[in-house]
Amino acid sequence: MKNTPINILAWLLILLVGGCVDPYRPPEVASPNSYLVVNGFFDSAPGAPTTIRLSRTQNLADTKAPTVETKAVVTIESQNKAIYTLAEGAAGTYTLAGVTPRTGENYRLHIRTTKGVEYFSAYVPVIQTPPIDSVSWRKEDNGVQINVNAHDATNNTRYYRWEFDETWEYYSAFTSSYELINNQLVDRAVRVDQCWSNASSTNIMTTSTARLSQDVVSQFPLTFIPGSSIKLGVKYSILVRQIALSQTGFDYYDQLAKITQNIGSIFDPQPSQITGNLYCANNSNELVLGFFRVGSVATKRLFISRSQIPDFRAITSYESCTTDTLTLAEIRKDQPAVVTLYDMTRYLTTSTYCVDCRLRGGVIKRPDFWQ
Amino acid sequence: MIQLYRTTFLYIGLLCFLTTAFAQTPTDKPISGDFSNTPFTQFVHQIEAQSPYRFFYDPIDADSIRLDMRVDKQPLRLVLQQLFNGTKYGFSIDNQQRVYITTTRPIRTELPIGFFVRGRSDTGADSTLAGYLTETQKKRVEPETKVYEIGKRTTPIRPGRSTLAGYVRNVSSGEPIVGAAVYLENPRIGTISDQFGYYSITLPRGKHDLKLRSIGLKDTRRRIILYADGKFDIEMEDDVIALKEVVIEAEKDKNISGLQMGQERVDIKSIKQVPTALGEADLLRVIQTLPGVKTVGESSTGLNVRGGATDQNLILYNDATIYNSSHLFGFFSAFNPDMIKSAELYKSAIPSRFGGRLSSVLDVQTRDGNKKKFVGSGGIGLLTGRLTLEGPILKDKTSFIAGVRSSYSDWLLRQLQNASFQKSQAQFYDINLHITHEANEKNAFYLTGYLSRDQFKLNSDTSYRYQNQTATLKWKHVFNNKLYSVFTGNYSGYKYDVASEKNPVNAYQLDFSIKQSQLKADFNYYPTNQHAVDFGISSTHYRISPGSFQPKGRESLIVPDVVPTEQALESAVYIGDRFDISPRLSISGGLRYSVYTYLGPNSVYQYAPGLPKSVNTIIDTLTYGTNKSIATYQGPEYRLAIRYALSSTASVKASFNRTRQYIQMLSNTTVISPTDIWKLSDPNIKPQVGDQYAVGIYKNNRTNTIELSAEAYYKTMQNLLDYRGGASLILNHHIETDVVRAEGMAYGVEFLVKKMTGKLNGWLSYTYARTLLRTNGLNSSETINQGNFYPSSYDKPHDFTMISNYKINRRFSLSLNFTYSTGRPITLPVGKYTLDNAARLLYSERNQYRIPDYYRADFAMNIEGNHKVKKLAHSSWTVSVYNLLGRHNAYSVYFKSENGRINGYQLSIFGNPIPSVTYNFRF
Repeated sequence: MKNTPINILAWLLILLVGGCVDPYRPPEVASPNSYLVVNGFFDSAPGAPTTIRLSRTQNLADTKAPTVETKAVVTIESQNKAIYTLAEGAAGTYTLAGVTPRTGENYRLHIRTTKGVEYFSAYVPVIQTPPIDSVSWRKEDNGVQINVNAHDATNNTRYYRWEFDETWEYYSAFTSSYELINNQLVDRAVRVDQCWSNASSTNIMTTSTARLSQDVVSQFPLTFIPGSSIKLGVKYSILVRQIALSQTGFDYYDQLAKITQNIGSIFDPQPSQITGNLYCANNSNELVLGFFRVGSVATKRLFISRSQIPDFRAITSYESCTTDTLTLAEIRKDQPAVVTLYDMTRYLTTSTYCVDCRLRGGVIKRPDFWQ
Repeated sequence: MIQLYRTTFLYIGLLCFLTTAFAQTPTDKPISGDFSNTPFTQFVHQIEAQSPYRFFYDPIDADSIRLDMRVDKQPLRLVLQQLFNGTKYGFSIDNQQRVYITTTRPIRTELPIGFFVRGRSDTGADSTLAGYLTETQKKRVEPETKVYEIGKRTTPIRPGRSTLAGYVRNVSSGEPIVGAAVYLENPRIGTISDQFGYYSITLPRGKHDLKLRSIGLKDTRRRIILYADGKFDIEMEDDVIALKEVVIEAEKDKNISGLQMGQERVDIKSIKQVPTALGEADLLRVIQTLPGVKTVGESSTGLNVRGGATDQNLILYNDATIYNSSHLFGFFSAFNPDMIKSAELYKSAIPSRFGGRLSSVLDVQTRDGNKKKFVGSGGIGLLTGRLTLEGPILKDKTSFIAGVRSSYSDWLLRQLQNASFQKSQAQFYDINLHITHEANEKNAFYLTGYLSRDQFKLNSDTSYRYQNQTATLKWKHVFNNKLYSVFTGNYSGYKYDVASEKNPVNAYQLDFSIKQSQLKADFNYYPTNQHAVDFGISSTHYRISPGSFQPKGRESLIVPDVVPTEQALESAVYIGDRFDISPRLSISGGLRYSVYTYLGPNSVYQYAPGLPKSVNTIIDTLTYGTNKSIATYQGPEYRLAIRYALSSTASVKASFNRTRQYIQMLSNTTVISPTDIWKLSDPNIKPQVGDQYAVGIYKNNRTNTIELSAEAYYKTMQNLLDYRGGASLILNHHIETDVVRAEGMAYGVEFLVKKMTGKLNGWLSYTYARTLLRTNGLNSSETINQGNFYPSSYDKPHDFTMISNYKINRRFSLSLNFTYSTGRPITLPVGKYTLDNAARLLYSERNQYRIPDYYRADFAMNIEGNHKVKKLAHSSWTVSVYNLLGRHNAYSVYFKSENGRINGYQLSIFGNPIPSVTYNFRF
């Protein structure tokens, strides 16, 4: 870069005027109440089980897992008075199997807690999700952009939401052939140099085609993976789940995203209490969080191999791995990980972290879908 | 200088000397004649016929001289002395009996004493030379000592009163002086020149000593003998000493003697003294330091006046409304500091001639161009450059002033070899033109044009542009000394567009525009010196295109969506009178009646009565044709103010005013953002009505150098708009379903201590104020916080400001400013929950918490160039440091769900002390 005086002046301005963002710890604030949170939907795919999970809101400072709402009576009711009761499996998780909602019918969720408080959702229609046309990816200067494309020829869907699960394969720094068991060096029974790690989307991703003449979603950006990410080190896969929403559902998720994700600019919207389509029958001021919907999910999976993006160099955190050559006696003393035999008496050794990929968060079990 | 005079004298003098040497001995031959109403030319003919005198003069100068005297063998010198005494004419007679008649000063016919003594400059014995060299001083003294006769002379002076009127102008530029006090001390009668520099005062006939006082100008006086109604223009001189003084009030004792309360006047000198973030003098920044004025955040030029929202201020630029008063995200205000003369902010007791907004009026006036000569000024700062030129078009009649200001931030960004900065864009410019034409004594015309544009794109594919455009034409007509009128036609337009072309399938452009045209006639009538009456009529037409969403490019699948244009007509009549009942008690009453009609063509939804307005409760759609009245709102607006003087240095005042507002800004953000929408009142959105009661006490010390004041107010506001959680405002065809009606209540006390003169000057202000809102919706979806009062987003109870300037010498001054305010209210998360794999936040009720308190210190140093009168250009440097302490003042606080965890952040606009240097010049 040229270092002309103008350039320096320009940088100086950016530095000076550029605002700054500091971490902020709020004063001790606590919610006066703990409200019911409803997760889950009534799955319209034939044979798919429906799962509803009930929990409670927590104070911000609370580090424990959320309290679950157990022993509640959870039912799904159709407008034609059909009632399906969900059974509690794991605490707070209620499931229903063998019931497929009928298109054209409206359903609502009904919950009665052990304290006798009753909650209802609005009646919602069954909304079928159109299939995903493609999950596409594009190599950019410093990473890979993954987009989704979809359409509905009947122009009915209009409101879309996506979630995704990412899985990636990676290798440890060294392949260890031996392991030390009871101070005896034996051949390693299970390979620990090849792992698969995964992550799920946490952001709410929605879009609407209501302003378009055709119900077409073109290149909606889902995620961007930096070229240096370990995700692109060997092979990467993403499973995209597409969910069609009603307009009210879209508004709900859109607002939820606005006040929790797309903030921090000068022109932020004012945050507010956002409620979905659930309400408390006993007390109209009591909040219920979540949104109940009836519908299906469309999925599509994409793979990206290292060979398709040869010029990215992943930073794996194994860069600092070094080896040493030790005798068996020294190995028994220091307990390092053994890579392989070095010469007649000595072995090539390293730290356990550098041979066991599980220590980096992955699992060695190859996923069923892996190709 | 002396050298120059000397050389000139040498040549002229030598010539005279040579001729004199051969001339006859001078004789003072007496002359005779009977001159009755004789023109001077005829007199000359007669004298030249009977004597050797030869006259040299300009007949045009002398055509008004008439002689009315009988001369019997008197020397000519004596006759001329008698004739010209007390007039502008001078004469001299040389040795050859040549008579020179000149205006202003007589010609020297002799060389100065000691002229040939080289190197001696001490010519004290020669009073004529001293007179020559100090001519300018004499000239100034003259109008003060001279006696002006006004009206046709009568002897004796008839009893009763007469009205004197005219303009107060600056002697060097011919610019009218606003707010100059024109008064008599005994009896105490006074008035203030208006925005055109025009004054009218009714006095008892007879001899008076008329005094004049104004900021930055030398106090002066005129001796007058008032015989009848007459016109009298007064010129005032710049006070060189006062060059760097901060003077806020036009009149030194105005807060005591004036009737107006809740009014602040800021002139350009004080604007230039307050340090700003990027070094450029900024009117709105200074307004924000005044008591009762708050702003939501640092980069915002939006004003919250006494608990009013940012859209409740009528910002007038030479009578045209400015809809977006900020540039570059609010870092700059839309007003070029070189163009502004002054600004007046009315917080309460709003005069009846203003209407249309609830909380305040900010009346910004541009300067008139220099009527005498061409001058220019400008400045170069870190981000902007500006240049202003002014001068006469027709000398003493027509003048212009034109200013251009532009940022070069865009160019700077492009210099950076960084992709994200290169993709960014941020620039603005504004252009001003103001022409003044004084056709004659009775008629004057004023034309103002203004254009400002902003464009920005911040490392994203979406570009924003907005533009203000105004034009004003004013005709001022003086009927007589007691009555004058101003006819104004103005247009103001505001528009913005947002466009994105990154993805061809979704490429769009969104347009918004507002066009406002206004015609009005204002009259000022001064029947006696106890009354000042103003009345008038105005009519404003609004046309708003609330949103047009169009595809961009051939591939775009965007369906055009256009929210129908809406239009309305707002008309008002008003009358106001200031009545000075006694020197102690005055009262000002005004009534404004406004009528508003929402006009077709448009379709209006009707909602089921008694149910919350939502898409599901629409029961009918009514369609109206072009210019058909859809809804009419009307009502009186009362304005009342009373002053009682406790002593000559203390007074109490009280006021009440009602205001109505028919156009509102819809904004889901707390600050003014360029994409806010303006909405006219319609059958579903009622106009806002506000009432304000205020009382105040004012005390000056003996010499009027320190002012103390305390004002308290209580205000109620009806039909305000707040938004339902998650309201969407853009391209909304039924905005009434997303807003909730609210009522507001504001109260507060403001204290101000101000010192205007001396080496150390400035002010301290403290305000305690609350602003609360309450929704009155029908059910829970239409209420916020269960229908209880909640603080508005700009409710900042404590606010303290100190502005101080210290003048080290005439060329060097320092300013130190300090601001403290309570943090603004925010809605904080009070709980968390997990939904769809991620942690989400549960927010509290609206505005129940506050961001950390705000404080900031600024420092500035003004260095003036030397004060030599003859210089190519006068220049000054301003070096300033904004946010001297480098405090990270929170602008907003937000919480983000990141990787499933909730993190809190505070955003500060400025995290460092911001130094800047500005170079200003004028030539």
